[in-house]
Amino acid sequence: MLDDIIEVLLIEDNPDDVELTLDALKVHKLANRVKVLRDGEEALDYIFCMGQFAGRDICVCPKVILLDLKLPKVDGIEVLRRIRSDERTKTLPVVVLTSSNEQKDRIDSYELGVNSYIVKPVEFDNFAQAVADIGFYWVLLNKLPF
Amino acid sequence: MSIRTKLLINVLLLLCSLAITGLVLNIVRDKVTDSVATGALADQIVIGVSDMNTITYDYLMKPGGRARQQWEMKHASLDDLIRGARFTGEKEGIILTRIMKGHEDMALFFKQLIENDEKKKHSAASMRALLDENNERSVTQLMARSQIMAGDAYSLSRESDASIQKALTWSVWFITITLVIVIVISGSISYFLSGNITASIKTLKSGTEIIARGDLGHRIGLSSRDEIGELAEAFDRMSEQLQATTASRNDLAREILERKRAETETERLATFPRLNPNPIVETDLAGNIQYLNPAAERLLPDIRERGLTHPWLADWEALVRACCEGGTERGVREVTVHGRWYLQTIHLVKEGERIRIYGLDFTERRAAETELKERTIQLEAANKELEGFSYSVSHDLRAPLRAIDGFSTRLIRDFGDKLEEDGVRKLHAISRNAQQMGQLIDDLLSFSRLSRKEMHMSRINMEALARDVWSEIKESIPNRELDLRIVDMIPASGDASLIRQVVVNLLSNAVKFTRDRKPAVIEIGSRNDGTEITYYVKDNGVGFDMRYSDKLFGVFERLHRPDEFEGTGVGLAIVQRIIHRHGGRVWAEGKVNGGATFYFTIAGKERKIA
Repeated sequence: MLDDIIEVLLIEDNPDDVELTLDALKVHKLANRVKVLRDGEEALDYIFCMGQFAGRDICVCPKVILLDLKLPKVDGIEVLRRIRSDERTKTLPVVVLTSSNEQKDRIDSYELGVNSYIVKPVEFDNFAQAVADIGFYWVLLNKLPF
Repeated sequence: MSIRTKLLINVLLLLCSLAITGLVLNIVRDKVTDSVATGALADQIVIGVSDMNTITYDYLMKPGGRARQQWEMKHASLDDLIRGARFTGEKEGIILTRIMKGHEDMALFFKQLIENDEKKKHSAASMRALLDENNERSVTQLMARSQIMAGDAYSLSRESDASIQKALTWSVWFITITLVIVIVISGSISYFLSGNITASIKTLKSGTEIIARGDLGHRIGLSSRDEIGELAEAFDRMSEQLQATTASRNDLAREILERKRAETETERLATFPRLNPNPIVETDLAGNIQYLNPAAERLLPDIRERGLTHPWLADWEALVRACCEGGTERGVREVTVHGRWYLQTIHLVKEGERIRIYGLDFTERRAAETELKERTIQLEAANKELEGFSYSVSHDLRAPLRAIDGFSTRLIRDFGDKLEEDGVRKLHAISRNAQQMGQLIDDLLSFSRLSRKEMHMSRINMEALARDVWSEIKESIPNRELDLRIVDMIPASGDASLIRQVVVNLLSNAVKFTRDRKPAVIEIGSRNDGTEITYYVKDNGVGFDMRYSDKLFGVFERLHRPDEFEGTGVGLAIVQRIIHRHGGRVWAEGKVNGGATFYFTIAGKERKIA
């Protein structure tokens, strides 16, 4: 089934941001290939097939992970660190999509090997454009190693 | 040769000459005596001869036994006289021999005469005449002989006179010559001696005068080997010893002076602990008090009674161990005595096996430090809080704004045809305000970040910077008629990215407020008045009322309504903060519709701006 193919992993706790992001991804008809995870712990469970996602096949990887930094339980930086420190997931493209424009966050993210760092614009038009561009680029344009 | 020897020689010489003279005179006396004796003998011979002649005549007149006896007696005495004479001279000897011969002849002739007379008495008359004739011949012979004898006696007398004369003459010559020789030798000795002595004495005198003036290092150095030389030598030795004595005396005086100075210094140094307002305590290694300065007596009045239980001497064994084994011979610790805090510097005095504890009351400082520490902790906490706050602002405040904008935009997009025109306008207003607030948050964040940003000072080419910024601005607004003049931009020293922000903000402002000018003329330049460099940005835009110039640089302060000119009122506040951080000043001049000029200076040094 085409719907089962998860190409975008959206890790975001704010439901409004989730709705607006999904809305923006509709431009390239990517909205139904998105798996939304509401906190860091859930995200790690999903990625490493643990807890409620224990039956998932770890080899089925998304084409891009959109990661917010400020998350309940486990924060985005920690999620990124875990992804990068695991052999199976270290090559996964991760794009930080956050409201934070703090230098520290940017430096931490890049030091952990993030593929891109996008500050969410407050203006919806700009935000929708940015998300659509990210989806187009990473899902449709970019080629993965495996 | 010593003067004494020389003088002795002189005296000896004189004595010699005297002795010689005496000898000579003695010889002469002997000679004269001889001669006088000879003369006297000659006179007696003459007298005797004449006496005999008289007696002979007497006999002839009256021959008899008595006259004959007288004659013979006279002859005998004269004979004794002649035979008794002793002569040294040869001539006198010859003359005397002749006289003796004549004398003997006279005796012979007188004998013949007597014999004739005897014969005459007994002979005939004829015979008598012959005998008379014989008598006459004998008398004649007698007379002749007496004449010769007298003559010889005279010549003997003459001879003695001549020898006296000769002896006198000889002696006069001899003495004269001797005297001359003695005078010459002794005179020259005396002359040279006196010359030498005078010169030596002069040298000695000048030398002693020099020494007397105090130059004890002076040496007379007379080389002559006489008494003056010895005197000079003795003098030199004396001055040498005097010098040594003087030197040692000077050493002693200096030593005394130094000791006095040291004593004064010691007394002066002793006032240090006495006047020290901080307590100083000295103990032996067992902790027995050896010395308390007045401050210690006052501040630690019970230390003697309490001994090692006194807090000043707390942890005594550990302290001694630390001092003795620590290697550093000193330690520092803090103690409290009667509610006061003291910083103790503990010093081990090796020689005396003493421990000195210098105290410093730092109660106030400690309180201040504690307060400062607390404040620092508070401040750090506040800073952390602020960081957290700004993080929240940047993250959490933007999300709802995005939702407001997003959903109102989608409402217009998805349901715009179902809403009335007024409803759509209101949704647009919601969206615009949300965006405005987002901008405000962004500006506020960047403004607050300015204070935290570290500055990296470098040399800045201001002209290149202005050109670069200008080309960026022009690119973003391609359809404006803009005229930029760059006039003499002097290089500056500062943080390049911050100064760039200043130029960006001022040029953007100038562009914004010249929007309705055709052409818009903007000038950026600088001037150096010797003490500082002033940069300026001048435009021919709408300007401002100088009455509100104090509001220009305040955060969120604006002189225009948003519908006139967009903006949040942070741009100039950022400019001011950056310039202040560089230690510079910023100000502006302008008038309504008369353009505006913004000035700033850069001191080139970072200053902490609270």
